[in-house]
Amino acid sequence: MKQKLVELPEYGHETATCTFCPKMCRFACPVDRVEGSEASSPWGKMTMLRHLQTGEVSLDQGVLASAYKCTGCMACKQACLHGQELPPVFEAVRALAASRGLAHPKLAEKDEAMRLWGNPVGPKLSEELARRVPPSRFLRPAPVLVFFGCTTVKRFPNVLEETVRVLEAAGLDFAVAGPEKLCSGLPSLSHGYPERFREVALRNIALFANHARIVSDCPGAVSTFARKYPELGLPAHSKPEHLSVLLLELVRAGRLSPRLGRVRRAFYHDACHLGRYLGVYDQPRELLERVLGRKVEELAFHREMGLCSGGGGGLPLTNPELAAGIARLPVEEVRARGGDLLVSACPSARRRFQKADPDLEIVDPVSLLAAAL
Amino acid sequence: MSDGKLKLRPRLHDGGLEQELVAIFGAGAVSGRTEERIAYGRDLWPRGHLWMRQGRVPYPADWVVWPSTERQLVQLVELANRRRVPLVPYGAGSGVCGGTVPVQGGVMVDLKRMSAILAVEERSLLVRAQAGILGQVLETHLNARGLTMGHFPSSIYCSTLGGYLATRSAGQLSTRYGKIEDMTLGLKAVLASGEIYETRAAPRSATGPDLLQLLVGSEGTLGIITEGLMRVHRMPQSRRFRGVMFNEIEAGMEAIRLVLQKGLRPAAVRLYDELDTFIVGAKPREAEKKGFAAFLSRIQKSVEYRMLAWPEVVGFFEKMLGGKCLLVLTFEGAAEMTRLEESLALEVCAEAGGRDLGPEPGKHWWEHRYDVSYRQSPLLEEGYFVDTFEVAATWEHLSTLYRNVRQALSGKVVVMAHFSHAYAEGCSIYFTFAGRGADEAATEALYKEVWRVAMEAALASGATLSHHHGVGLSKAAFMRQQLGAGLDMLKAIKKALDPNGILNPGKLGVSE
Ligand SMILES: Cc1cc2nc3c(=O)[nH]c(=O)nc-3n(C[C@H](O)[C@H](O)[C@H](O)COP(=O)(O)OP(=O)(O)OC[C@H]3O[C@@H](n4cnc5c(N)ncnc54)[C@H](O)[C@@H]3O)c2cc1C
Ligand code: SF4
Ligand code: SF4
Repeated sequence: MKQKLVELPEYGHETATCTFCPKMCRFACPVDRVEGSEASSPWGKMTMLRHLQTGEVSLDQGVLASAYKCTGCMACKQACLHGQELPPVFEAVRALAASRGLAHPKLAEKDEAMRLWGNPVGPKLSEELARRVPPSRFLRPAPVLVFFGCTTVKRFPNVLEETVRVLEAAGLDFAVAGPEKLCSGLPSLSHGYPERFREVALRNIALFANHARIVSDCPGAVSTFARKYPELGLPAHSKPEHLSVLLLELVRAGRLSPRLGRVRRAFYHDACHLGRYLGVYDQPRELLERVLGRKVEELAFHREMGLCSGGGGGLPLTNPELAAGIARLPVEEVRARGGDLLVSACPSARRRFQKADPDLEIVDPVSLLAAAL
Repeated sequence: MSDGKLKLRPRLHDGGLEQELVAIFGAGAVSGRTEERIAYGRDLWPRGHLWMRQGRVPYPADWVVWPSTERQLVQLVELANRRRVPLVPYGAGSGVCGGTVPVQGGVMVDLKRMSAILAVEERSLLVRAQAGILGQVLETHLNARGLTMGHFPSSIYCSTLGGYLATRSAGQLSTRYGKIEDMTLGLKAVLASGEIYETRAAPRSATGPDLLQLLVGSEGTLGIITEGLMRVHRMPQSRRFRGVMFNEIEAGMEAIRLVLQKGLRPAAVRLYDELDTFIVGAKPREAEKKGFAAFLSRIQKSVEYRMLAWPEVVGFFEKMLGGKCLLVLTFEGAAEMTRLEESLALEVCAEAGGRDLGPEPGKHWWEHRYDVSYRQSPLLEEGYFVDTFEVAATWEHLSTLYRNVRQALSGKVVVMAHFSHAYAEGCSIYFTFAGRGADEAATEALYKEVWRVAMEAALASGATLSHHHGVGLSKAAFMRQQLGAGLDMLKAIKKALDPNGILNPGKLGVSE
């Protein structure tokens, strides 16, 4: 007595499991925490998709609108006994919409930028990168290739300079990806443009070929390289890694010796792609402890249950107020607990937090390390 | 783009209502969109699953609003009285009795944007929080400060403080920490008159009947609860777990009675009958599993809840299983106390004929205590209903109650039960049942029939109809039998507080 499915039948198991579930993961979902609507809870979004599958409603009768309300943070998977992965399901709905000309106009605009420039911002990014990084670092053979995130280049150019300075201080032989700034392709994937993702991924893979370690300060980029690039031909010897992991390694090996200055109380934010996607929880904490002279403060929701910043899945484009509300949750907690420093190893999260509370000091671990050398 | 085949009932309340709602709440906090109309049309009442399975939304919401202040609620109540529009207070829709189903349309008042923790008073061990906070969010923030509320319903991930208060909820550790009514020192609510009622915070009062407790359990019919002032505890220093196996359910019941009457307060007390032991509770040590038990254990992992779909197979297993009823006990608090409580409780169990299985079954239960909440989807997808029925009675009646309800249901559905939430004077029984008819209409008819006979059997056995799920729609028709003249008192109170009947009409048996 299974139901007949007319749309996206490949996700029949996922929608049935959620539709008849008592919404067990909702406490973990940042969208649910802020919007508090049954329709945008993980359950609600999957229920709407189920109605689409069984032909009861059409894509534009709320199905697509709710499928856009997901940051891809995977907190629901963490809270789900079945380990359901919902982001790929919503990505499929978005892709279906894009293929039928129903995509959100802001996402379509970003896709056009991706088509023209290989990044979602435009030619400015390559110019900024070339301004901040010494030309000798580009296009050189070196075991380590540093790939900066697009948001880092656009919003946090100081991180480019600090990273180069720190890695030079450690005497590391490294190159920087560029000067043409390509994106990892994660936005295309999560906005519903899998073909564009493929296009940019293949360009990156060709550039990665001669490096043993691909290091990025952008958790989304690292997780995309690690999870999605191998099936497109990324060779097994190219190991994607987050910058904080490399930095800890250098500190542990004595190649970098941070001086302990004023001991500071810092809250640490677990970025979704670093934590839940890559399982990197301990290394940034240890790095920060060595730099700050004390353990980081934990937010109430941390590690596996860490709070999303609201920056993923195109949410700031499709639902800007909701995205802003999500970013407020961690910063408000830091304020309520008397903190004045929030560390996040994700540029997009820092950007969101900064907008939510312009007066709070919000930094990348590398900035603290650079200041301590 | 072409419409899907689902045609939602036209709104029962419309005509300029949206503009008035937007004037109060702002456009971002009002919705009449299709996705919200559908999503708020069912809660976790299992009939909602049947509707979903049938592709129906018989009671779509007209409007949903998300208040962020009491002031807005006061304005809303004024509007509702003026236009005679029903208001349905809404937590997280995890209620299992249809308490939020908008049977008469109107405005769903979703409290989840009022979810702040307003104050933690560590000296008095109290937390003041807004009603829309999810249980697990509140608990996690308390834990970060070394505190716990001690309220762990199986729905803690998907239910709100306001919902607990409105339904007289019970957590899995209620034997130690009490039910929600025991944890509540105060609350704030917006009444149908537009007044804001706030209780004075004191440990106890002798200033007339307890009005706080009038609102606790009012299921959205007497006021919109916006805040709770809740007792909290310091995180326990130690936790101990134990499993004890009994050859028959009565022996287990007797052990619980004696443990409680000795003055011991385990945190959790859960005694599973044979089938529940097999499907959910029993995890005897691997070493114990030989022959048939080992075979059972292997298939158990793959069938779990699905087994409830095969009554013949269940009947066969029940015979084979004969006489295995697991009692799980947990203890928490200071280390010396839990050690002592555990050893005294084990003595009592041994005298009652229980076999100590060590800490493993208790630990296993603790680690998987919410798992069962996730497991029903496959059965529901295939058109079965799975429902629960939680009654309570004094020790005098408990055994009869168990037998009578089982007897009433046997042959109609597969049924299993566990005893939890124990008191010196009695205990609650939690029946789970599953079934399906030949087609959708037959399934609906069977579902109704099963509830009718179960209620009647419970009432005839001296039980209360609900220990902690509440009444909602599903038990409303039985409230006369439950309350007798008390129902007239309740109706008179309702009439006095909400003369226009705007608050959650059709629920709790207090209005049509
Ligand atoms: C898997 C599962 C496991 C469960 N386990 C337990 C358990 O262990 N113990 C237990 O007690 N219950 C349990 N329940 C039932 C349910 O979780 C509780 O009844 C819970 O208290 C409902 O909370 P809610 O926020 O979801 O309320 P809702 O379902 O939204 O509402 C329930 C009722 O309360 C009213 N209401 C809600 N909020 C307010 C408010 N702020 N002011 C006034 N009225 C309001 C509604 O109008 C409705 O009548 C379980 C349910 C499920 C699905
Ligand atoms: S992801 Fe898992 S927990 Fe969340 S609604 Fe779906 S089945 Fe339930
Ligand atoms: S991935 Fe994150 S935002 Fe998306 S449904 Fe799951 S918890 Fe919510």
